[in-house]
Amino acid sequence: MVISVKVIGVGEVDKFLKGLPKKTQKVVGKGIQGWGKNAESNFKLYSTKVGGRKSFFSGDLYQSIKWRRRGLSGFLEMSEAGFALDHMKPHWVALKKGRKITEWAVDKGLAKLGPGGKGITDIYPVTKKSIYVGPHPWIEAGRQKEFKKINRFINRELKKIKEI
Amino acid sequence: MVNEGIAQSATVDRTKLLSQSYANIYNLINTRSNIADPKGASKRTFVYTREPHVQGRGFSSELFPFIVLKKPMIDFSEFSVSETKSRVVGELVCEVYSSDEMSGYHKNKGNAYFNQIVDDLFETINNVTNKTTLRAYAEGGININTDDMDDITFNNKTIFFGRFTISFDLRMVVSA
Repeated sequence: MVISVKVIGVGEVDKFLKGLPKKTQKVVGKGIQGWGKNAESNFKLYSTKVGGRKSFFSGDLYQSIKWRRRGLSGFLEMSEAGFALDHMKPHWVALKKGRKITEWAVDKGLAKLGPGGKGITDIYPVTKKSIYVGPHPWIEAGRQKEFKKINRFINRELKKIKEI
Repeated sequence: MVNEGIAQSATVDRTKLLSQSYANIYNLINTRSNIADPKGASKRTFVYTREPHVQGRGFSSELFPFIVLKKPMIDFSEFSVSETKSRVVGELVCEVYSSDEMSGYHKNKGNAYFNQIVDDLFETINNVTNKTTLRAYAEGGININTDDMDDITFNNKTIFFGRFTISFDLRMVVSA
């Protein structure tokens, strides 16, 4: 399946950076790349907090998070599941046999296994075969945390120049 | 503990630039007299070459604390006129993980163990003798910087982590 992705904002950042003096471009660019790689590792860790993860260093979302370089700056790429967890509208999900959410709901004690391996919840006034799920806004929280660190990486590159 | 695939410390040359530069730093960190395992265990793996699989349930209390030393990113610049020599700059990411969720005597000592490992790591990399030894292996200009230090909660368990960049900077023959 082909998925087209439109990355907004990277072009403007790159244009701004290319307007800086050559040496400053190099320093700021290197700082941003260092920061990006660090943000990639941290977002991987933040992703383990959402989606009912069982293991720490694994999972499709964990593996999908990558820092992609574009010119002097770059962007953080992740699977659609990451955005869905962050942005989705609250909705009902059927606890069908074999679904990870069924396994998770049973594990958390929110549902019990009914006939044929289907999950049945009994936390609502009426027994249902589905569960109500809402978003986990983890991207914005992580973004705010990470953006505070960018100065540190650029300053470190500046120090290297002073040493030379 | 011997880790499969990691060579003994030796001189870095153009034929084994990645493997040997990595092995020298790995062996330095994986020496218990340099960085002690706070648990004092001799048989468990303490320094990993990749992220280990950490199960959420039954959260392996045996695993924590541990260090992950990732592969170096090597850059070449400032080539000589003949293009046989170059400046080689390598950067390795070293991550330290610790957790309060350890069993028995070690319970709730995650933060103390984390601090102890990071102190030892800084001391080892900044140690003059270690720097001299690495320079003798053609891996000079070793330095350490902190990228990040934080804690996260995973399945109601606090995990302390620190990320450091260990760098080396040398000039060497890169082509015959």
